[in-house]
Amino acid sequence: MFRPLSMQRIALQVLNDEAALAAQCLAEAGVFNPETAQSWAERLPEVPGESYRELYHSARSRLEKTLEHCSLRREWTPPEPRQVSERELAELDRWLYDVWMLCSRCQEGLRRIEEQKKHIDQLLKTLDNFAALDIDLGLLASSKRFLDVHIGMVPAENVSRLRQAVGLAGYTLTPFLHHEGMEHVVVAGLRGREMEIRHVLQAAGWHSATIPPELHDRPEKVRRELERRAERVVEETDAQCQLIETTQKEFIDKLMAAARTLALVAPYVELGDALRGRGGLVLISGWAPKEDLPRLRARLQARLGGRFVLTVRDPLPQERGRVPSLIRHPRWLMPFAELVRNYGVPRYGEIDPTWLFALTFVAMFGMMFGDIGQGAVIVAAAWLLRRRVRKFTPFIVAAGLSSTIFGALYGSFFGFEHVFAAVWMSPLTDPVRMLKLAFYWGAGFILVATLLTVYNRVTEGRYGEALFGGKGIAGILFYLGLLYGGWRSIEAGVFGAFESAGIVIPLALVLGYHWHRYRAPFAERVLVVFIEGFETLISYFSNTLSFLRVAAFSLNHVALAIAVFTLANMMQTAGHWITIVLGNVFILVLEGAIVAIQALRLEYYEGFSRFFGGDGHEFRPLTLMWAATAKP
Amino acid sequence: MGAVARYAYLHSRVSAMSVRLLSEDRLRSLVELAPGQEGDIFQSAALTGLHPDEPSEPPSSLEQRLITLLMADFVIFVRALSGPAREFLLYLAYRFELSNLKAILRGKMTGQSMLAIRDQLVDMGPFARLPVEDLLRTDDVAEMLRRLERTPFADIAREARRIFDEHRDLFSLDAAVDRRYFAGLWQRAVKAERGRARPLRSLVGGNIDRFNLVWLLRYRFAYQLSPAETYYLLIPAGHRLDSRKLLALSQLGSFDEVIERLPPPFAAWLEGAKTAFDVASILDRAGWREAQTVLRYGLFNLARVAAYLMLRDRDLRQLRAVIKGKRMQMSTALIREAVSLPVEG
Repeated sequence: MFRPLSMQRIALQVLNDEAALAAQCLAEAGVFNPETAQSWAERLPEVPGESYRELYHSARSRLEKTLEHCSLRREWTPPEPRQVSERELAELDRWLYDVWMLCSRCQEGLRRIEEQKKHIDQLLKTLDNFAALDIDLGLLASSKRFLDVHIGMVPAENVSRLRQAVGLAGYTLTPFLHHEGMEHVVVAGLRGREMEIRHVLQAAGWHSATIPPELHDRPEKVRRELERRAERVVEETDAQCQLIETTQKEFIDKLMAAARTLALVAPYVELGDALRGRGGLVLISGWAPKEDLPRLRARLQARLGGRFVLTVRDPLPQERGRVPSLIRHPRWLMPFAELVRNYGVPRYGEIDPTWLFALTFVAMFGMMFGDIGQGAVIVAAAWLLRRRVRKFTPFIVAAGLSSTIFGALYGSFFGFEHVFAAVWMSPLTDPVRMLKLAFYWGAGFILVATLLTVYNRVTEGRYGEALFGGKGIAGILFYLGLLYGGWRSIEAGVFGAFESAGIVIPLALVLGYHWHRYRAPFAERVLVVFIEGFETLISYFSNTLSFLRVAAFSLNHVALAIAVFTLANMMQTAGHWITIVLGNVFILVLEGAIVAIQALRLEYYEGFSRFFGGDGHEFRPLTLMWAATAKP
Repeated sequence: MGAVARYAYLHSRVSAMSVRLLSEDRLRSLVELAPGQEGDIFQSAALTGLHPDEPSEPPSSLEQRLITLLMADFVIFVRALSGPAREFLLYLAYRFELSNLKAILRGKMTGQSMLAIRDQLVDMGPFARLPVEDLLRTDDVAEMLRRLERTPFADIAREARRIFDEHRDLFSLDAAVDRRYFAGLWQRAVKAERGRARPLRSLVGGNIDRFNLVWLLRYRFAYQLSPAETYYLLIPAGHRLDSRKLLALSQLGSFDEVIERLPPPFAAWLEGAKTAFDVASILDRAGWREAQTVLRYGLFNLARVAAYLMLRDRDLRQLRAVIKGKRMQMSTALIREAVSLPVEG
């Protein structure tokens, strides 16, 4: 619960022919994290199933494209484990190719229709604007003995260069309309260099706009013809959409079956380098939680009979950094775990800070945002919006409840201080006391965090750091010495040799340890040790002061409420209550968000950064679900 | 913020990194040393991770390692920049991605297998924008172009479609891609460079001049294109060869005439050049000389970064040539020629 589950290194030896079945079995169990077996690379040089994998990736790509084209969503029913042969997979891939080519042709058809639509639109626009062209269109339309004329469109950015280029062949270019990034132009010149000019126009992305012979006399007829073409394009679009629907209906069952077949193949493919072999035998290596091993073994036994050898062992010290971390939390703790994961994954063997985070975050949120009414609103909002906030519902409910409890302690109800008598006191009646409490809270938090650091270092075998590091026992003694010296100096006005020794001796131990550990030229060593010692001192000091914000925000909360009431009291009855309601909404939304961020900041920077490496590897088990990440 | 404050870090960083650049002497030693003895030179040029003495390594793997080294330098500089200067540098790195794109387009249009195309690609790491795997997994050219149209490379997809539909040569696709790239690079250089001194524009413009001149010669006298088409296919930018000069040069009738009519200093540089390849090599060396000048005398500007990257790119290309030459057991003289070193004796 407080640490990642104990892991075992697994080596599963099976027959090559049954490797896919074994992978399915491991995926079905959902407790096996594959990992490359480098140490076996020499003895087992083959990575079997290369063509099988390639077939899978090809088939999967085609299936996904087809499903996307037909707008089909996979309704998942876990498939029954069975062996999928390479031949079956190849046939499936071929069938998927055929289906996809149908879809692809349909897509290409739609694309061409879209292009036609644009072209017709451009032609209609041209028709509207031929009036702007100050030349005889009848002349343009007819073939001329000496003149070569082209009317069409080019991308607007190509026009100036094209004008210069056609100029070299003795042609002129006259734009007459700009529409949607295309320039409508007339290119004209003396006959004799038609081929030359045709190549230049092609290079410039030329779209010819033919002038129908009747245009000059009867433009309306042309317009009707273009509109009829546009209607035909719409009909073609409908036909293509119909085709998509037919494809969808015709193949849906087979496509779903294909998805299930590929899901059975996926675990084998996802094993990647974790699968190595030689001859007829293969070895699958990875990690599994110790507590799940009996279940895993039983499942393998049921599927493979006795045709497997499963060897397990504890992780070796040199493997610790590679062991994946798996922590099973109760459901209500999941949102807190999510926020912890946002910072990082605990290393294997490291303390999981989720419980501590959940308790301290909720407590700090309540301390900074204590109000019975506003807390209740947060709880109610979380409950009403539970479908939208989903797994974060417990997180928001806990924060709201904490706010309500602290509201009762402070005697605050939507900012009113006299509706309920304070169980303890209103923060503003004694701000110094609040600051002191925040200071003690911070000191306690830092001490707990540092003790956790010591524990983590010990489990990692870094004993020197655990004893003498700035975040080790010596660091804790130094911090306690600082607190004691400060307290004696303020309360009794005494700061003698004992108090000094309480600070200097642990600091000397910390510096001595750094000196011993850091290998560099003398001057650099002095500089680094001095800076690290200074950093230790400053970090304890600043981290502690950082917690004063807990008190500051509780005072700020009351002060904001006072500001709202001052404004409300300046108004008539209706205005008074509107101001109070809007003021409370403002406090809830804005201050609520700020307080949540501040509490999170304290956890991340003052807590996690002290004891939590967060650079562990997440346990990623093989599953029968179709993992979106499984790409070649 | 002034240029000194803005580029102080980059200036120092470029100065520190420029000691890695291969001098002519070091390059010569590299060519002459027996395979396996180049360790010291590799180390001084920060070329760790290369295994030049491994002949079994496929050529694409060596290419990938070299690109990775260059990308690592890009990452260092890009991190320290913002706004148009950052955009310029990112665009500069984009060149390698366009090579990938060209390889995919060419491969698909000529019906190469997915594996064969993949072998020609390099991993762009953090600079990748092209959905390479999706493009490779397409089943025909039309599908690949449709997929490409949904990426930032949509304009290239349209151009490629036109070329594919018209059954035109693939070289015109390559040229179109390069034209768009250099035009974009020029625009970004103009945007990134403020102030009166314009070393970045002259550096980028110099590159464009080289590209334009070499392609003008190829289009006109190798592919026999008309002056109009040749001119249209050139990049509408440059340092010494502006549109007016390119227009005039496009109309000339022979290779020698073009060389003769070039403005200074091209005429002097290219005296005796007989082929477009000669012109490309000579102008390459001129470009490197200019980059070295910018690197040596430039102060607190983006041009220094660009110059360093150009020279580093040159080094890595030359290195690839040397390694490949040695693996193929070519003569030292031939390798020297391939890396533009003067041939002795």
